[in-house]
Amino acid sequence: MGTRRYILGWTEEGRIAPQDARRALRTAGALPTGPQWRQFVARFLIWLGTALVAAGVVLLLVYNWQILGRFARLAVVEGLFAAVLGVIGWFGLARIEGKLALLGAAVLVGALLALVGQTYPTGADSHGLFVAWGLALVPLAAVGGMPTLWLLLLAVANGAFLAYFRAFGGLFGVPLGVEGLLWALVALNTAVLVLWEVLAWVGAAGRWGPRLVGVVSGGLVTGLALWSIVDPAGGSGWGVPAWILWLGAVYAVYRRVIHDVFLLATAVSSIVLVAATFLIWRADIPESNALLIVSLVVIGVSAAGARWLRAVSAEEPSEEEPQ
Amino acid sequence: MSAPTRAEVWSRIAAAGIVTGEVPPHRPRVPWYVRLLQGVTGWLGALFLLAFLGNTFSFLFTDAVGAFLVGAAACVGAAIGFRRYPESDFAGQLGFAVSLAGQSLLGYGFWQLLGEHFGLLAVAMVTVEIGLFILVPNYVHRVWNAWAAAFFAWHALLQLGLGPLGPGLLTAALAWMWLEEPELAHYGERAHAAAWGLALATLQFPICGRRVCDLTVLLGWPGGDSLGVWVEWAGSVLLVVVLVAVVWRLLRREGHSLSTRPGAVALAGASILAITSLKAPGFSPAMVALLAGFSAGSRQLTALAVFALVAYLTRYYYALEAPLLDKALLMMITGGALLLVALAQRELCTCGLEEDCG
Repeated sequence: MGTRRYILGWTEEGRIAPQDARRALRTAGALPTGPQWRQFVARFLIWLGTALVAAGVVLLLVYNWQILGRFARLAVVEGLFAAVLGVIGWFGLARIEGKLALLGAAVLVGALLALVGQTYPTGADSHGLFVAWGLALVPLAAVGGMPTLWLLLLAVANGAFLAYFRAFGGLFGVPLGVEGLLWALVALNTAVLVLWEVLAWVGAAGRWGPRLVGVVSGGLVTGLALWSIVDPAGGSGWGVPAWILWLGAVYAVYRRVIHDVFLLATAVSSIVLVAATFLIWRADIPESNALLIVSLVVIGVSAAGARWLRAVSAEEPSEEEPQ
Repeated sequence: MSAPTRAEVWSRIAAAGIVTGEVPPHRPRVPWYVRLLQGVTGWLGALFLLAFLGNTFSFLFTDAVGAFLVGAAACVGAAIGFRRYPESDFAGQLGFAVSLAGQSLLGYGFWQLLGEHFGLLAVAMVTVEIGLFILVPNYVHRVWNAWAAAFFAWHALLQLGLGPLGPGLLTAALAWMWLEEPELAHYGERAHAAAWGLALATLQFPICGRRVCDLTVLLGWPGGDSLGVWVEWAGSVLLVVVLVAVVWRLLRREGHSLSTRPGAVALAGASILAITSLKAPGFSPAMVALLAGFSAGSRQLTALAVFALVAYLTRYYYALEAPLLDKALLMMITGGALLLVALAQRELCTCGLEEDCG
C-alpha cells in the first residue's frame, strides 16, 4: 500500500498544503474508515482478551499444579481443548474467532501430549513428543489453511530434529557433529521454502510466510559457511560452496522469477557477515591494519548492497515502498 | 484488490480539488529493511573502527580530552561528508560508521571529564544528538539521533529521580508525532525519522524492561536518588492519562463524542487497559503505539507495537517481582473484561459495517 507514502511525499515536496494532507489521505483511502476502525477494535479486543484469559488460566494452574491429581491435570487440559473445539464449532473457520481457536487447539495438542508423557512415562525420548505433535498438526494446518499453523508445524519439525540429535548425537543412525545438524536443518527448511514458493506460484497468497522461512534457511546456511571458515579442519569444507550456491539460487529466484527485495536484503546481510568473518579468521592481513580493513569492507559491501537493493526495489515501487 | 497506482491516487485527490496539474515525477523510496540493513551494518563497521582506533591510538581511551577532540572531529567530518555527498551510498555508510564511532568517543570523553555527574553527561549527549539530527541530512542517521536523544533524555530524568516519568513522556511524544503525521509531513524525512526514533525509544520499555535499558544499572554507574513512591505512581498515572487521551483524540477525529455507542465502548476498553497498566505498565506504550500505527495506516508501526505487546506479556508472565496468583488474577480479570467489552460492542453496534453507528 503505497498510497500513504505518495501523499506524504507530495506534502513534503509542497504539492499538497500541510492543512490538506489529512483530507488527501482520507480521500485516497489511506486512513482507516469507521467500519475498519470497528473491525480492528473488535478483533483486537477478542485477541487480547482471549490471550490474557488463557495466560491467566495457565498461571492459575501453575500456581495450583502441585495440589492437582493426575486426573485433574488431564481433565483441565482436555477441558480447555474441548472448549476451543467448541469455539471452532460455534464460529466456524471462516471467522477470526474460529481461526484463533484453531491456533489455540494446535498449541494445546502439544501441551496435552507433554502432560500425558509426564503423567505416564513410557521411556520414549522427547523427539517422539515433537513427532507426535507434528503429525497431529498436519490435519489442523491442512483444514485451517493458515500460514501460522504451517510455520508452527515447521518449528515443531525443527524441534524434533534437535531433540533427536541431542538424544543420539546423530540422525537416523548416522553420527553427526554440529555441522551435520546444521546441514540437516538447512535441508529441511530450504525444502519447505521451495515447496512454499511453488505453492505461492500456483496461487497461495501472502509473502510473510516464505520470507520468514527464507530468513531461517538463510541464517542456517550462513551459519554453515561461518562454521567452515572458523573451523576449517573440523568441518567437511562444503559450507562455503553450499553458501555460494544458496546465494546464486536466491539471486536467480528472487531477482529473476519472484521480485522479493526482502530476501535479497537477507542475502546481502549474509554476504557482509561472511566477508567480515573471513577477513578476521582467514585473511592474512597484518594485525595492525586488520580491524580497519574489516571495517572498510563491511562499510563498502553494505553500501554496495544497499545501492543495488534500492535500484532493484525502484523497479516495482508500489510494492516496496515503506509505510 | 490491488493497491491504486500513483496516477490513480493523484487523480482521486485532484478530483477533490486538493491538487492540480499533472502527476509529479516518481521519486523512489528506500524500503525499511534496506534502511535496517544500513543501520545494523553501519554499527558493525563502527565497532571495528572503534576497535582499530583503540588498538592503534590507545591514548584515546586513557586521555579524555583526546577522546573528546577526536570524537568531535569524527562527528563534524561525517556531517560534512553527508552534506557534500548526499547521494553517495558509500559516503553515507562510511559517514554513519565514522559518526557512530565519533559519538562513542564523545560519550567516553564526557564520562572521563564529568566523572560521576552522569546527569550532565546525559544532557550533553542529548545536545550532541539533537545537533547531529539537525546537521546530518541522512534518514538512518536521524533515526539513530532521535532514539539516542530520547534515550539520554530519559537517563537525565533518572538522575533527577524522575526516571519513572520517562516512559509516559516518551509515549506522549510518540502519540503526538504519529497522530499528527499528516500535519508534520511537510517537514519530510526529519519528521518521519524523529517519529521512528521515538517509536523505538518508547517501545524498548515494554520489549526489554526498564532495568535492561538503564545504563547506570548495566554499567554499575551511580543512579539518581529516588524522589519517593509518588514518582512511580505519577509515572503510572501519566501512562494512563496518555492512553485515555489518545483514545479520546481518535474518537473526536472520527466524529464521535464519549456519549455515543462507539465512544462509550472505546472508552470502556481504554479504561480497562489503563487501569491494568497501573500494575502492568508496559501495556500503555504498546497500546498507544498500536492505536497510533493503525490510525496512521503504518503497517510497520502496527506490527512493531503488536510485537512489543506480545514481548511485554511474555516478560510479565515470567516476571518474578509479582506473585503468581496476582498475575493470574490480573490477566484473567482484564481479559474477561475486554471480552465483555467486545461483546458489548457487537450488541450495541448492530448496524451493518457500511453505516456509521453513532
